[in-house]
Amino acid sequence: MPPAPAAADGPAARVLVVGYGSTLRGDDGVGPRAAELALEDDRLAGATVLLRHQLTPELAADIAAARLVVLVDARADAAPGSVSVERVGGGVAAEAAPGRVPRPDAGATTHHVGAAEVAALARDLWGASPEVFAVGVGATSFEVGDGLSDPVEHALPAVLDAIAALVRERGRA
Amino acid sequence: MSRTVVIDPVTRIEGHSKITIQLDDRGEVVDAHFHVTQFRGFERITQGRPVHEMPAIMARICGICPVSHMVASSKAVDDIMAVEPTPTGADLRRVINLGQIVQSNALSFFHLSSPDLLFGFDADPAVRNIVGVARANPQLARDGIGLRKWGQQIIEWIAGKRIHPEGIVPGGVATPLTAEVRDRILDGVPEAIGAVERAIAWYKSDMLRWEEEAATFGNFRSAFMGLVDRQGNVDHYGGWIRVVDADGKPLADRIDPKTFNDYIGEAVEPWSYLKSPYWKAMGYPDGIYRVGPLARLNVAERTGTPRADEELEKFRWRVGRVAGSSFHYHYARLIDTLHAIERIEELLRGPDILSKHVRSYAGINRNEGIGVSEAPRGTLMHHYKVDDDGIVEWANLIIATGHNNMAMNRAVLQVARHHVKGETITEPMLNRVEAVIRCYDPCLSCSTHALGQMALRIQLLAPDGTVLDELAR
Repeated sequence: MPPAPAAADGPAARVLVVGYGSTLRGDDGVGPRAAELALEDDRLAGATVLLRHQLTPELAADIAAARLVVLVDARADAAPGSVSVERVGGGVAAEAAPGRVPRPDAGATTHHVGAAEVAALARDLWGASPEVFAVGVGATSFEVGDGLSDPVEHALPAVLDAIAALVRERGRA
Repeated sequence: MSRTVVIDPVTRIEGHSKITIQLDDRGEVVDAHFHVTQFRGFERITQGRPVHEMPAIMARICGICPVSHMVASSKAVDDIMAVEPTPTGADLRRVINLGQIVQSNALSFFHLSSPDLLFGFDADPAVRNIVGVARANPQLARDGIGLRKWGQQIIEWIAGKRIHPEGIVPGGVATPLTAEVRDRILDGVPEAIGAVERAIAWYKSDMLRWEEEAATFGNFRSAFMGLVDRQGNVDHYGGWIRVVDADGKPLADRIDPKTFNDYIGEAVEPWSYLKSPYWKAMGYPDGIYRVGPLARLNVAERTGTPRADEELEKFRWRVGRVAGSSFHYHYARLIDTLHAIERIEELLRGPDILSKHVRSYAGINRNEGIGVSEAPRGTLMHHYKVDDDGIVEWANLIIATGHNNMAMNRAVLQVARHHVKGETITEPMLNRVEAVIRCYDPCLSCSTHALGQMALRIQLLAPDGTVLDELAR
């Protein structure tokens, strides 16, 4: 049995937003910061919002309870302050390829798992395949520090708009 | 407010880690090093901060076990304030810390190590992972996820919901426990015990498959260190430091954790940012010791809870009173988890657990403080010095992964000697080097504060340093 969804009503019912990253590594903290803002955004009322340091396997249980999942993270390979939306798993595509086992993007000792892995776990353990989207924010600096760079700070409204757009377009699909 | 500290040489932060294996003129393995090239800056970036901020700052070292750092840090600040937490405050810290032990041990065993144990060390890595486990043994995968969630819920319900909990504070905890939260946690105890007992039964039924690995995975004589209570039983929060040798003979007992600097030295090697703590009386590098679940069982008389003690008896019957092989960290980790669950239940059923008196208050009464507790991977030590206004002037951390640094190097060397034949690195060897490191469950973000994931790279070196072969995963 997958866990029961945390929120039963609101425009974003059964939407899961996970902002992840280190809040002491500069722009890597954009995911948690966006998640904090998501908690106060009326367009996302009813969504389950989680702030995490990194993705870990038990998120599969939360994903299994959701209809739409949005993961927010910094990107080192994108223009500073740019906001991208990419589908990373779940939905019809996953069901069409049940034999696919995502290779972990983890090394020998890391405790991190990838977005595709946690989505696959939700599917294999609870038969749930919600659509999973990654909202990426181009980062400037990952140096030690507890603030965001100007380009990333200025991108936060666009990040929230991107999440809200996904909820509007996909949340009730 | 933004605060940036530049640390040189930052370019090495992305270097992560690598393993080098050194051959002699005859092609025999003579040395092996587990290089950690990530850099931890927490001792530096906390300088100049008010000491009461330390628990919250130190929690950010790691997303896996922030509570462990909060506990050790809060104890260090207690010491600086010369204050004892209230009994209920201390018990709630214990519960939160044990929740941390449960969730982190579950991650290590179920998600990182069970793929090796289920599929074999030489199975295709595309299958040998947690997603593969979910397909082959969904009950095992669900049990792991369930234990992780239960442990994390304990932390979130008592200590706060954000990434890094804020409920553990100098002097105790921030808020009293409610009956509703206590009962909600207790409701999950039977399922948590069921999950870990299923895993223990599965592990024991499969142990004979791994006799060769148990013999060659970091199977060597060393000392062991852990915290014990008045009865000499496992204590994850307080008590005394006990160190035993490879035969179980005490090297030191009832050591006040605040005096650890008298007994433990820290060596620095040019090839790693990870320090090498050693037992001073034995010198460096002979003073090698291990910490973590295996060490906790090796140093203690018993765990102190019935189900875990029953399993401990079977453990000792199978592997001896002092288990020398690092492979047995897996088995020990499961028993450690079972004990933690039982202890959580005991503490939550205590008569004063709902007391409103959960925090003691005091100012700066000392200029130096030390806090020691057991983290999932072993004994964790925080040591701070402050000025008269409580501003941090100096900090030093000895992390469990650091304590195990020399042991991990020894283990890698043993595996290399067993598996390296000729001038090439084979896949079986790579697989086993990965696996032997996983026994210790090193958390490099704790020990060095890593950014991102860590890939494994192994180099085989000729006597003149020439790279003969290299494999990466």
